[in-house]
Amino acid sequence: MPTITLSGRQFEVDEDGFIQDPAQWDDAVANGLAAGEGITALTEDHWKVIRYLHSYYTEFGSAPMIRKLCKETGFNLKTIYQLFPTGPAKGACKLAGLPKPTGCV
Amino acid sequence: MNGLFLATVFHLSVAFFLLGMGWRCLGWLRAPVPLKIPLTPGPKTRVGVAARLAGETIAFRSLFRAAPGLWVVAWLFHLSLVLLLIGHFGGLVAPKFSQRLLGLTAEQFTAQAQLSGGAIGILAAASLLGLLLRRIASKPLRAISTAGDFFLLLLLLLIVATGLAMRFAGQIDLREARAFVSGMRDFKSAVPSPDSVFTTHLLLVCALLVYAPFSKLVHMAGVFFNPALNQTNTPRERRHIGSGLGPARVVFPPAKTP
Amino acid sequence: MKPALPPVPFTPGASAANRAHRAGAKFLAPLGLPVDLPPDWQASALRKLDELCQQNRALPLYLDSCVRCGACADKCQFFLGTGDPKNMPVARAGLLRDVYRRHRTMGGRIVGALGGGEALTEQKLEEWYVYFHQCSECRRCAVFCPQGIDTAEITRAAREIMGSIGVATKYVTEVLKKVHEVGNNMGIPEAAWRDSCEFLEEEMKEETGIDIRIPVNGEGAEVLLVPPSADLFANPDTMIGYAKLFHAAGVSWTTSTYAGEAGNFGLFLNHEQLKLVNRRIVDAARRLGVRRIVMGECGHAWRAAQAFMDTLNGPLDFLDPPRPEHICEFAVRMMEERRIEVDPAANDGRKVTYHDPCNLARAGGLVEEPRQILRAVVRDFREMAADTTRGRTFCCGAGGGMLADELMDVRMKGAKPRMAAFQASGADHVATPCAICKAQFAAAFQYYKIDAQVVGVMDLLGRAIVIRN
Ligand code: SF4
Ligand code: SF4
Repeated sequence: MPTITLSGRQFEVDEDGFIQDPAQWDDAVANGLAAGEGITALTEDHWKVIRYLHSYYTEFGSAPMIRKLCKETGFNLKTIYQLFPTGPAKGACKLAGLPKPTGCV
Repeated sequence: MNGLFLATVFHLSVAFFLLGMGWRCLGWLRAPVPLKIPLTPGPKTRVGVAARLAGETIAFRSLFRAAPGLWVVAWLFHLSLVLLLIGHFGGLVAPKFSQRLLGLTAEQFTAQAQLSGGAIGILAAASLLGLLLRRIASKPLRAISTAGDFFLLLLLLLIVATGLAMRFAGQIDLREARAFVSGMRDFKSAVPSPDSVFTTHLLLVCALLVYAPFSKLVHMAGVFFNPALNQTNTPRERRHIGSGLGPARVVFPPAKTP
Repeated sequence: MKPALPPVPFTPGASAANRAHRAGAKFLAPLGLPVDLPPDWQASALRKLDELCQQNRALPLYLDSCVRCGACADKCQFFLGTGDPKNMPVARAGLLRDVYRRHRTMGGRIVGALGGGEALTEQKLEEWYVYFHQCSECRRCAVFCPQGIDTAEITRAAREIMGSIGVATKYVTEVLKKVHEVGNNMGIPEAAWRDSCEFLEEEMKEETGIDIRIPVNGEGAEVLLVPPSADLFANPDTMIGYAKLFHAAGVSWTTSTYAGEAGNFGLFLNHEQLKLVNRRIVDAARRLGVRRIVMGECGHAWRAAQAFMDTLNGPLDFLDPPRPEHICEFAVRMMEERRIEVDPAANDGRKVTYHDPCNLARAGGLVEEPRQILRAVVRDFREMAADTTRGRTFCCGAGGGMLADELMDVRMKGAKPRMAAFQASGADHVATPCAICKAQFAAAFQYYKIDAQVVGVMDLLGRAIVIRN
């Protein structure tokens, strides 16, 4: 299993760089992973998405429906793609410490 | 060459071919068809399936849609093979019967045999050359062709070439050939082979017959066994009973009930 | 009409580097597959090949009777898109045929060279891994092959053999693990499933002012709807479409969190998984006491359900009629019985074409129903070129367990023929009842800079359907 080091801490990640243990996640992880997803600096808008994703995951054990994410954060899908160029299921979930959503998406 | 020897080789080859093909078919038949896998949209009745198979084997329907150019060559080649088979049987094995059937005099019958045999032989040679050139000239075809593919084409070309040689270079005496074939058929005499070209022709055919069950020539029977073509598209009308591919192994924690 | 995308030159090895992530122990073990290549892997792979040849007539038949005419070569979207000769169906099958001829046929043993045999080496295994995961099991080659040889069967066998020695993709095995542990491909647990359904109910209430339900694990309903779980993550309008349809038709229905997945990735790995995943649907239907199983918008799900369910896990005589039904068949039936009304004006302004998912068209015989629906709910419905639709449809480029991000390169190349046909149609919407196709089209539209949208058939029906309280 590959690992990455973010601000001095080691994390196990999968082949696509998603951290394996969501419990290890904190803001530093999001900050550390941002550059790799084509984001220069995390703004308040980014954090809104990231925090919503993380708290939803903590409560329900999976990522929320994309439409629900849009509604709850008030951003439309286009804005989310502007914030996270690799998309809600990749960049946003990765920064929020979720496992990569896979299936038929 | 000794007629009895040739006759024995030929009969053994035919027997080998039939048994070999039967053995290959049995091999396929022994394996079950576990699932319904007809290509859809497909026929729902046995009659429809028969029509589908007829369309594929007589008209080469799929090939026509896939590659019209190849279709022309391949279809003409197979057609010439069938006609040559019929011609050889009618002209050599059962000449009397065929002559009566066509209502011709002996001379007329021989003349038309020479004519049609020659023409169809040329057609076979031309289409075989076409198939061979295609295999050599096209990059993708070269990439997928095996030694066996070239071997078969060359073998067939040689058979056709020796046949044509008998027809055009040094006219074979049809009466002699018939006498030899009927002698061979009845195992009763040891009529000698008319000439060495004839012998070569016959031995090459024997080689083809013996090689066939090991080669892609099994496609002549295989297409009829293909479940994608011969199954009716009726998984929901009738339950298809598949064979058991071993019991399912469950290694998961017991599933929650819904 | 825009020009078709340019053809790709014949380039050996062009796609050799495009591999899917290999599955590790974490995903192999739960499926009962060896987690490391066994020391005698060659022998056990050959044993498996033997076994499969004895269990599935199509396999030896196809390996024996290909004449290498090449008619299938330029019919596969992955050869058309990559130009890699090993993506010609005949060459792909050849990877297995080589080994088969060497080890299994008398011809191969006697006339080795003429038989074209090759030994199963590590390099061969690598080729198997790469190229049998660049086949979407779409069956397009079979339609054009004069022998009807279905390379998808060969791919399935090759993957089963590889699986038996612990070689499989992470994508497929991870999804299967989630199905067994959670109940669906996405791994949406029951709480999230319920939350999402409630969210969509609220959405529909806002839109229509009417309470339209998406029931979860409801016992005694008439219909068990089995959607692809992706619908509950990425395709909310498809989900809304189902709900409105059942509501308008007045048919009681439910989803199940045990069988929350229409898709069957067993089809992309091995027979055992095909059967196990399939059984979940039958078990859920029995326990919930429904009378019908209706399959949602997923292509290969329909193959697994309509063609295999009765065989693998039947008889289905507790259903009435004793067979699964497709959501498009159901919708057409409701239209014909005048139990729903539609107003195509709701979809005005959309130029819609239809993409036949391969498994619906070539393995499930479902080609007319979606079109009947689209003609009723859309005023500007147009077909793509006839040699790219119905039985001759192109794969979207991501079926058969290829919808993994790391395969993006070959996916986008494989999407090319479909994109070209789409552009030529002049449409700005493509409707397709398959979650994999939807995900792939969205990516491919972006990649090819095509300004268009992909939707489900139910999305458009849902908009057009007349809802009364
Ligand atoms: S079309 Fe069929 S017979 Fe011809 S090369 Fe392809 S698989 Fe073989
Ligand atoms: S099944 Fe489809 S993807 Fe696979 S080889 Fe045939 S055409 Fe290509």
